[in-house]
Amino acid sequence: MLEMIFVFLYIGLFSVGGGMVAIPLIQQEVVARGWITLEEFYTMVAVAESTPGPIGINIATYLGVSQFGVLGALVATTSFILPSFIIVSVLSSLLKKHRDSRLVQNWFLYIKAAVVGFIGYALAHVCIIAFSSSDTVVDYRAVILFVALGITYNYFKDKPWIVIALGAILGILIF
Amino acid sequence: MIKLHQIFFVFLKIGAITFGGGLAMIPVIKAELKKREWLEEDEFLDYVAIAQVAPGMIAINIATLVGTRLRHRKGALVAVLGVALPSLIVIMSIATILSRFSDSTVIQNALRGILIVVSILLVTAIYEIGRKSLKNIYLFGYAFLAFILVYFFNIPIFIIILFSILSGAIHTWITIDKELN
Repeated sequence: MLEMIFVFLYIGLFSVGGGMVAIPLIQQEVVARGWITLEEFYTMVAVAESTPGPIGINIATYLGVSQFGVLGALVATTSFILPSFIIVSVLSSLLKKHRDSRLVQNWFLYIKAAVVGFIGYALAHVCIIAFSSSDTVVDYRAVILFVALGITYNYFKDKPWIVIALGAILGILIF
Repeated sequence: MIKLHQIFFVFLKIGAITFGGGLAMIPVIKAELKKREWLEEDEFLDYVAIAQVAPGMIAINIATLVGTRLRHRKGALVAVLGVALPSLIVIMSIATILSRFSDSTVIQNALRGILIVVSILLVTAIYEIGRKSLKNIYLFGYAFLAFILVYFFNIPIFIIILFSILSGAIHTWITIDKELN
């Protein structure tokens, strides 16, 4: 439990540049520690994406509850929120003053570029699980589903849960 | 004076109805605050900018800032609690149900379908962030290098973030030096 608290404090502190960064950060810490398998982790991500609320909070809650039940969920989510809560409430005036400074802008120039690479890392892992089945490297049914759902998503960008529900139904029908 | 329970319920509503993470929440929070005339729009946009440079989830950071502005520390606490509570309840119920049925083939196949949607969401995120942030070939190379280091060498992400902060500082130092000459 103590280890989980430290892991989520760390993740909360380094989730910079948008909520999606929490996915590769949590994966790197949690899957390597053997707390859950890669498949389980991305099942969590799928659930986190298809329910309301911030993605990072959803994943932290799910992981906490799967490890230590209700108490685990509360502890994981609290540790995850704590670093940014403290930083934002204590340093908000400092952040306000410097957010347009060239130094901060340049930090984010590099951080945001790296974030693209981090999300690429998450994507590569998801693709391995989603596209290959036990007998083939690339399952053509998954590719067809990818294209069809990609087109659908283009029309429902503000309502991702519709596409996720559709993905679940089509998954049951064709696999 | 704005009551603490009012702040709590507004953020509870925001946490319960917005799908798709922090960025999707911004317009919803804006609309809720505007309706109640709690904040000027300029001030809110300021908070959005601060929330994005601070570590942590954008939604949580905005809740902290708006809560602090309305009712200081207590306001921040109830706002964060409100925005996180729906996630806690919904996810805890789903996790319990899912763990009971996770061995069934129907659930397995549904999850494979959902994972394909997750890959689409990640591709979109890469495209959206990349379009704004990979402004030149060097930054493109930097993103690729970050991918290689994390994927193939399993370098901890915080090391790359610290290195990015260092790179930004060096970049600033070099460009300012050039301008002075």
